Amino acid sequence: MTALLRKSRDRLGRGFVLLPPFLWMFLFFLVPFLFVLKISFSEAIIASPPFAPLFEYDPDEGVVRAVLRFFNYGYLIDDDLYLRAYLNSLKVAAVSTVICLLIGYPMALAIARSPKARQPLLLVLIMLPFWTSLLIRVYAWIGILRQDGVVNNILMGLGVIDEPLVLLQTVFATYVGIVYAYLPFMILPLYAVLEKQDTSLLEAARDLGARPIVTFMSVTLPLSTTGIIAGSMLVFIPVVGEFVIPALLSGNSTLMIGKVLWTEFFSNRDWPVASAVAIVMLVVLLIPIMIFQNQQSKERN
Amino acid sequence: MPASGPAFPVLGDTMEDAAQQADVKLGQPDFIQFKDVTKKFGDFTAVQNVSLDIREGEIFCLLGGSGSGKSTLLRMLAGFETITDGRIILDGEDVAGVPPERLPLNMMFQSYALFPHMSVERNVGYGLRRDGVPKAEIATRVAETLELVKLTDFAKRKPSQLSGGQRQRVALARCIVKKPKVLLLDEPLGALDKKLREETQQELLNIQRTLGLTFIIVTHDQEEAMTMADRIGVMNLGQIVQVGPPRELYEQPNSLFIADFVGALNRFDGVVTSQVGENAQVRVQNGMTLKILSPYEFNEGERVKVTARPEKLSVFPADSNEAPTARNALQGQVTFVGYMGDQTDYRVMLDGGVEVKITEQNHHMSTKIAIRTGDKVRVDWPARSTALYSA
Amino acid sequence: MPRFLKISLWIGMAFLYVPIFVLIIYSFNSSRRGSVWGGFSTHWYGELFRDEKILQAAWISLKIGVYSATGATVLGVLASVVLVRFGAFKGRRLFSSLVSAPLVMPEVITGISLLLLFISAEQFLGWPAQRGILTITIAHITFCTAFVIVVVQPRLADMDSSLEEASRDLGAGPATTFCLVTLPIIAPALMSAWLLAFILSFDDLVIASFTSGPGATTLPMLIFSKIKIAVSPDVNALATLIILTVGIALTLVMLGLRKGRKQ
Ligand SMILES: Nc1ncnc2c1ncn2[C@@H]1O[C@H](COP(=O)(O)OP(=O)(O)OP(=O)(O)O)[C@@H](O)[C@H]1O
Ligand SMILES: [Mg+2]
Repeated sequence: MTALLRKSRDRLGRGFVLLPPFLWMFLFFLVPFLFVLKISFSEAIIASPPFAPLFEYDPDEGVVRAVLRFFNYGYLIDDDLYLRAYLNSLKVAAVSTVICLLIGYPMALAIARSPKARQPLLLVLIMLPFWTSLLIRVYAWIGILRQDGVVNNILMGLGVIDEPLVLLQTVFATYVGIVYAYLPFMILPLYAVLEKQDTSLLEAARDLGARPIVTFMSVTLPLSTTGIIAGSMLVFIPVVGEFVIPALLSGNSTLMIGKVLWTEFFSNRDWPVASAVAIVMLVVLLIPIMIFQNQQSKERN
Repeated sequence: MPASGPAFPVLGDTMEDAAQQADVKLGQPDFIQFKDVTKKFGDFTAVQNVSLDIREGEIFCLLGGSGSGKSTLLRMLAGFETITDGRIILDGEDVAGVPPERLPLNMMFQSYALFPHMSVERNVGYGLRRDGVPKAEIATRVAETLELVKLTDFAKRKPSQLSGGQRQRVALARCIVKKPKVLLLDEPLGALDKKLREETQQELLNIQRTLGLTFIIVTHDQEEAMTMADRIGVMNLGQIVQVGPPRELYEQPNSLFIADFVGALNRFDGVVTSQVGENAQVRVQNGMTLKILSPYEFNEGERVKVTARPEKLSVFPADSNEAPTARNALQGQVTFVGYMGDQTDYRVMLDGGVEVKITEQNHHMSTKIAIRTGDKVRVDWPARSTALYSA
Repeated sequence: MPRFLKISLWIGMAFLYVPIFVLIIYSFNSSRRGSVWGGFSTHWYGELFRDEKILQAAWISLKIGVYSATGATVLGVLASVVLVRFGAFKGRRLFSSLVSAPLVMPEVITGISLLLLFISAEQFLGWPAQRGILTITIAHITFCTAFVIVVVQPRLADMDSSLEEASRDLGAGPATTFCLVTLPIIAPALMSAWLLAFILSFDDLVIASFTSGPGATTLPMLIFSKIKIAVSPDVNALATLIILTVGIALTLVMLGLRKGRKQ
């Protein structure tokens, strides 16, 4: 009897721990997508809120009728602006991910191979900028890249160039900003796997006749794939929907879907189209997100 | 320290055989030379002025406590640590500055260091692929080696799907498939349980004999060193303290440290009262006098340490016959009896107030079965089984 | 370590820090035109403290940050306990996905979806009557919880679970054990998780823009509206203050973490 009581009390206790985070995330993360989906089948009207209700009460027949309007999605197909924005966002995200990987991998490896005592300090140095405001750090690049900015001043001062280069509001600036902002997201998971690597594996490879570069290619690199995947997903997925960086650094040079959504929503006040844009983005990102989730749950077990 | 009693008599026989074969089997006497080798990590000296020659084809054991510098010495030879001072010559060539991948020796790591992302087969073939051996030859050599270590059925598995003993054999196969001249083994059996360790020791010996390799084995288990080695080098605080065949180390240790390190020991403090030729008399605690045969000369009145191994001592009921004069015979009372199956351990508090350990083989059902804790006994051992060291 | 690695580490570090230093230096520039050095001055800092709008926005952001960080830490710790201590249970995968997806979800999607939820809730339930600090806080708790878990979960997993068992063995119930043994041990991680959540909330522009209503302009929203138009030197000063505050707070936390680890 007491055993039964204790068991049910334990279950109650577990419920108290599990339910708050679960309900919260369910209610405020999962359920909202349904509303985005719903609104994406609606129509923009001048009202508050600026969309037509999906369910209409038909007084003649006494039924509630749902009106699904697919033309928001049709609109996304008709106007090639959206398609171009999606493709370009994917391209920018992919290229940025590769650049982050190329810069971040040697950095992560260098930290992992540093003396144990120095590693925490180096990690803090990597994380520090990431903990300070992203908006401000992106803003800092404006001061560096613009016409009368630091780079142009230095180059002209050195006599390398006569005319200031146009750096801001270019594709170049976009990449600089994105790589700058997302580099720590690449380095940290890479460091986590590299740091765990048993150095005796590397010594064994050397001992068996592998030169350092071969050791890297045949042991270090394949054993860090989980970190590469995790880091790449942490960069790729958010960059596809990135808004702040293109808004501040790209001007009209780089079309990105996050900015299109923002404009649709805030400037054009076409919430249904913005919702459709979001839904399509979500579908596009579904596979990368699943890869990321897989990785996460593997790591947690 | 585990009692070495049971291992030793058996070992003595095989050792003699080995010693007889030695001259035939062993090649070049200075195949590997350590010349005054020193290794410093910052201010800390891990290895100090080690000089050592290792013969081609021999099994050499580096024995020593934790932190005594065994691994460091091995890792310098393998090219993983720079040599602070001195030289290491391998087959006539200085190893300094040669990267590990170019040295004609292979190392078996204590952790085995198997590549977790490769199958057994690919692990074993790794070194051959690095050497650019043709594919077909790799396949046959890998298959042969797996056969040798009895792992043919496990070729496709990943290391994580193997038992500890199987992993150890993969690590071994990965080294020997390259047919190195020298195999370095850093605590090769440390992760195995006792029974498996003893089996594997035999397998290692067989493989070494079949392939005629030179083995350098690091261990801190003296029994293992005794079983496997042709010669043992004992290290302490970064220095080599004594080098010699197991029997020499056990029977003629050149210091109390060695005597204590290889095998269990009874110790007495005393003063030499007389020495005629090899026959010395030493007065130890509480007025007991011991008879000792010592090849070394001691002055009368000199302070000494006296040692006797537990398996050299015998215990008899107190009322049995008097011992011959060439033996020490002391009275005492049994404080502990530990029956171990093949042997029995006794502790006896001598009337002089010193406790001694005694190990007796349980050859036959004897009267000794009757000896129990609290009994009065006579402890007895030959004068020639006692050693003297200056205090 | 190969020299190549060392060099790339230091170049990478320079890449991360040079912009921040440039920003700090220019915040002391007396000239209005950002790039021309007009001499050292703390003029823009004074300007900052006279600007009512900035002070008000900062106050709002501070409040939201504290609420969100606290809420997210509570939820994140509970979720970490579920992930680390509950073993396998039905729905574990769903739970795990749900709490980690916000890590990568593009902000615009999170933002728009929460806004549409709030608007629909208002239509059907009459709540929330108006968007502002409350709705932004809810939104921030949602995405900050995922980051709290990233910090707390490994610490909880590393913790020797025999400590908890010992406590249970000595007669403490699960809740008491959690409060008296587990929480103190993971306290340093909680501290850094709280701070991370606070900074993420304090820094957020996109989600706040979607979920905010009239009268609740956060600091990032204000900064964004300013710098979209032109470089303004007072933003340099503001940015410097934010960076220094965060830097100092972080250093303190790290020192605390170190001390905790040494004990
Ligand atoms: N990379 C290093 N840096 C500093 N000190 C080291 C380093 N490697 C080893 N040492 C020190 O050198 C000494 C000898 O180490 P070594 O690993 O050779 O000991 P060992 O005899 O193999 O011991 P064990 O039986 O525990 O493996 C130890 O005191 C160790 O702390
Ligand atoms: Mg060692």
